[in-house]
Amino acid sequence: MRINEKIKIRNVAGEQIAMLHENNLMTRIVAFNETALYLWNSLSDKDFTVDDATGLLLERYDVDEATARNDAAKWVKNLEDNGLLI
Amino acid sequence: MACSSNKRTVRYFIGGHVMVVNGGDSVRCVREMNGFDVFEIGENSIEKHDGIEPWIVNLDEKVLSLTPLKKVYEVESDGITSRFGFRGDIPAFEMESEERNVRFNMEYRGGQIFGTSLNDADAMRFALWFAFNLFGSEVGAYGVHTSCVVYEGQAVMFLGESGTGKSTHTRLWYNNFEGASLLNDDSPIVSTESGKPMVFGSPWSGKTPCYKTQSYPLKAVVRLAQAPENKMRRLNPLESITALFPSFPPAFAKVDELNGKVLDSVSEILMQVPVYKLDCLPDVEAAELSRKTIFGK
Repeated sequence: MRINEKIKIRNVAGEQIAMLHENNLMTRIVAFNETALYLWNSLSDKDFTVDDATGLLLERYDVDEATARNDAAKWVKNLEDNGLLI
Repeated sequence: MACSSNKRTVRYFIGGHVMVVNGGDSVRCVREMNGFDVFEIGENSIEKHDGIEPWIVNLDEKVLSLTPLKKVYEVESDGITSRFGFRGDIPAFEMESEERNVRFNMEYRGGQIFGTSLNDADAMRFALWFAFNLFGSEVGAYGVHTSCVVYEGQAVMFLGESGTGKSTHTRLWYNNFEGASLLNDDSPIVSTESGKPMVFGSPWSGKTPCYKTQSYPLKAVVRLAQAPENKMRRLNPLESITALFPSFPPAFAKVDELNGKVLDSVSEILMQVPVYKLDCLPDVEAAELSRKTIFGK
C-alpha cells in the first residue's frame, strides 16, 4: 500500500491536520498525533506494509512487538477508513 | 448625480487596502450601490494611502479568454450562479443569470483582476467580494462570514450557518449593553497582516446596512448553535479549527494552495484568540452569558 501523496498535512495552531473535501458541503479533518505523523512522514513516497510500520514503531518507541503491530495495524486502518491510502 | 455618472475609475479603502475599480459602466454600478460610498477615497487622498499597493479591478473588457473554466466551486444566490475555477493555471470567476441578464467573468492574472463589465448590483457586490478575497489571499485578509460586534474597543465575531441567529444574538448585545455596537452583519474583513488579528468593517454587510470603516483587534470568536438552554464553553484547538475554518471563503477550500493560505490565517488567529461554542436561546441571558465568558463581566 501507499500513502496518498496528494494529501498534505499542515500545522494549524499546533495541530497536525489533513483536510479532505468530500463534497461541496462536507470537509473531513483528520488530526495526527506525534506517532501517526512519524509513521506518515517515514512511509511517504514508498510502498509499505504493516510490517514496515511495526518496525518503525519498534525502532522509535520502547514497546513489545505485539503492541507495535497492533498500533501499526490500527494506524493503517485509520488511514484506509479516511481515504488516505491509495 | 450627473457629474458623478461619467467617472471611469473609483477607489476604495477597505480592510486596510486600496481597491481600484476601472470601467465606466461598472463604476457607475458600484457607485450606485449601498455601502460602498463611505469607503470611497478621492484621488487627492492618495498620499494618505501612500505605500499601499493598490488592488486593481478592471471591469471593462469586452471578451475574455474562451478557454473553458475548470470549475472547483459553484454556488447559487439571488438567482445568480457563480463559479470559481481555473482557466489553465489562472484563477477565474464567473457569474450567470438568465432572468437577470448577467453574464460575467473575470480572471486574476499578473496581480490584477480583468473582467467584463457588470450592471447588476447583487452580482457586482459578490464579484467585488470575491476579487477582494483573491487579492487578500496573498496577504492574509479575508471576508469572513460573521455577525461582528464591538465592545470595549474590541471585536467579537459570532459564527454560524445562515439562520442560526447570529444577527439576533449581536442585536441582543448592542440593544442591551452600553457601548456595544455592530461592526458588520455579514462579511467584515479579518486580517492577520499586522501579526495581530484585526477586524475591519466592510461594504458587505448582508441584509443589515452597517458600513463602517473602523477596525478593531479581535477579542474572541464564538460559534453559535440553537439550543433549548444557554451554555457556553471554550473549544480546544482542533474544535476551534472546525469552528472557524468554514466561515472563511468556501471556494478557496477546494484549491490546495489557497486552502493552505486560509489555514495559515486560521492558525495565526487561533494562536492568539480564544474560540467558544455557544448553545443558546434568542434571549438576553444568552448575550449576558457570552459577554461574561468573554469579558469577565
